[in-house]
Amino acid sequence: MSTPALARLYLRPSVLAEFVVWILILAGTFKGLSVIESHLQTWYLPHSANALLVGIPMLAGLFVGATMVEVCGGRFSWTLPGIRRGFLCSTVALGIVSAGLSAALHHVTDGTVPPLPAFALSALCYALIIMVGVTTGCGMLSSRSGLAIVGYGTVNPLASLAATYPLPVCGLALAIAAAALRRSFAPAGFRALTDGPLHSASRPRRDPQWTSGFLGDDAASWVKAFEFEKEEGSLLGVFRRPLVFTVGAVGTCGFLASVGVWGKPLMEGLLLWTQGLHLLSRLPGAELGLIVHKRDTIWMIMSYIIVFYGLECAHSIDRSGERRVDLRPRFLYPLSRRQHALVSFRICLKANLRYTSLCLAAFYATALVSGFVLHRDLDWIVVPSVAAPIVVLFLLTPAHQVFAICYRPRVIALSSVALRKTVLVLSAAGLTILIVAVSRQWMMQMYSFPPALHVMVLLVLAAASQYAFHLKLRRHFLRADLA
Amino acid sequence: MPFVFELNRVTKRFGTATALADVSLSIPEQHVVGLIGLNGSGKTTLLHHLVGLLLPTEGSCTTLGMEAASLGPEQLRRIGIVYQENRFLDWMTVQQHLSYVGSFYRLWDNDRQRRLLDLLELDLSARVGTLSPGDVQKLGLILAVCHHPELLLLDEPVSALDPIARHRLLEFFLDLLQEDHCTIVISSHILRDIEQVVDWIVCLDAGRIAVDTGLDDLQERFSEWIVTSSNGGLPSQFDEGFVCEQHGSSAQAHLLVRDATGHLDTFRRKHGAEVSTSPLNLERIFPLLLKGGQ
Repeated sequence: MSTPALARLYLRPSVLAEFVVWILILAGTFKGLSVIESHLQTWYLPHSANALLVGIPMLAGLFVGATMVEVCGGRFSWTLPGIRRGFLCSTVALGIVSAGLSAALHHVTDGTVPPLPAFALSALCYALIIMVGVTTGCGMLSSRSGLAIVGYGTVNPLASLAATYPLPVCGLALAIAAAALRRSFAPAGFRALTDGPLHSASRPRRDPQWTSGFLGDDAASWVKAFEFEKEEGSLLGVFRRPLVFTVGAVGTCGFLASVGVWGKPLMEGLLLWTQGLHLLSRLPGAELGLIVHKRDTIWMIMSYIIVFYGLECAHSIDRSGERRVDLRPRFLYPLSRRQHALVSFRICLKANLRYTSLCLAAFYATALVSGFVLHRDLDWIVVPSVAAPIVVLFLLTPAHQVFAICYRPRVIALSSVALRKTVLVLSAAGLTILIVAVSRQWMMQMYSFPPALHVMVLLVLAAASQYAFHLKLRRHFLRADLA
Repeated sequence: MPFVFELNRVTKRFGTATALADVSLSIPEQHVVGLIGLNGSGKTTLLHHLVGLLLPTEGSCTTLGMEAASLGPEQLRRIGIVYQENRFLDWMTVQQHLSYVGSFYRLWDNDRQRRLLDLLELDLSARVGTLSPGDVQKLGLILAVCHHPELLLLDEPVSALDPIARHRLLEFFLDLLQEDHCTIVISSHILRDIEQVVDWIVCLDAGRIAVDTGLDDLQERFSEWIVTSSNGGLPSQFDEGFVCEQHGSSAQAHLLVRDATGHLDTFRRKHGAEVSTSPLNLERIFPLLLKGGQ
């Protein structure tokens, strides 16, 4: 492949847009780590300067590997002249640039590793991520995530080792990096990569059998059918995504706890989180320093985090590009438009209920354990105010689902995946801010109402929001093009 | 005679682009209709209107006696459709997929399913996501016909099939007509194939109906004349209005003519030439349709 062709490949607008987003995330991580390490010293968080040795090459390797797998997986990739040599040269060149950049930045940010070993460590990281990308093909996301975790986890001891024994570490790292690149570009392996198109259908972990007889016209049967379609043979079935994000939420709470949410001496850790969330939600009043001392507010903040994962799980940010809250488009189901609307509504309602219940369960379970272990009392965890954001999530998520079902085709028509993702992420962020603001106001107001009235208002609001959602879907399905 | 579907002055616009312009069309029951036209002429859009997936911007569309947008489950179960780009559930095996879609319908003919699987040589245990484009198309066809549809809509159904599978499938369509007496609409660019099964032709040109007539009528109207002059006195350009295309020399010319049957004797006398006529196949008629319309 010629150099201009490769350059065009790497510099596609969608790749560049995603690259910019990751640069911002990397910069945010660096800044966050540098702020945290000014307050705390934890063994499991990498030093900000050391994180650069992993972050930059990993980012570069991620994009090179992904582009390579994408191009090689094409139907006619094997016909491209000099594809192996072209990718080898560009990969090595980009590796040298990214490793050099990370070593330079490490040096500028007062890192302890000398330039040459820093370069070698970055190159090692880059080569390993390329190798994982090439050898695991489509299923590389989990492998790359694993490698990123290992990289961040081991960079501190590796950096100290490199600072103590610069030359041996440098030699060893460069040798391993060269071997990894050699393996990635071995002719036989690379030929296998270009042998044919990448099939999206990997063998499912289990083979669910569809045993239902004639489905009839009952919406409940069709919801069951939809869930079967989306189950895709995963071990956890329809609970897979909610559980993944709930575990993420609980993990985040655990992380907060470890940096001092529940421990008086490390209150600064929580202060960082509250500052961030405070800026995000622009809550009126309340001194930042005071927030951390209010127990209810602490819980509210943690439930915001759960809400964030809830948005993820509410099918709002969709990696596959297909509608997840709707029946498969362009697949002729014997359903009238009215039935289609009803089935879509029930699918969303069921997903929302499932996720809200899981959020509440995860939240109260975390609260129960931490309350019992740390405070030896349980009376304060039943305060209903802490659940406010989760309930608001249930009330407002349909707004996002309306966007996903009714307006997504228009976004797809703009034919830019990057733009579609950006719109979805921005709308998810907007909804999060709305939830945070509404639930905050609600929590402030609720102290003046008796609990029974509070529950009644909740029920009425829930019924009203779901009914409005149903009406909106029905209107959409009666009036819109479905192909 | 009852119509299986009717479009009454249907116009469909997508933003500023007009996909269908003032289309009126009625197809009686038990016809096999060939829907032909250039890429982007509106064939797929028209088919989507028939099942109510698209709504007309203007006009109305009736299918099986109902407004297409209001088709209920009972009417939709009487329709089978094969899309140009099938989107099936990749993670299922062919067997799982057949059982799954089979449960949408009250009557699912397992014998027909078996017969088609044998005919088209499709592996039941293969995972749908790993099938070749041709095999995906075969699966789409099986899914569309095993519930004995009264109206079968096929959007490029054989484009990815090999010649043997195409031949077998066309034979199956003929059997299907005998068994189910259904109406079939085939949109295809492979005109030689569809010519073997269709009895009605609808040709779309830039969203408008260029031709809507029986295949026999069409083939009667268009023919090829081989004109031979013993004295080499044929003109370089024939000025008769029914001549659509011509090429050859002053001794022999090949003319493609339209609606010229009544003019044959006059033509012979005028040019003092021998004329032998032969019918044209659909593939040769098609460009003439787009040139001159009806």
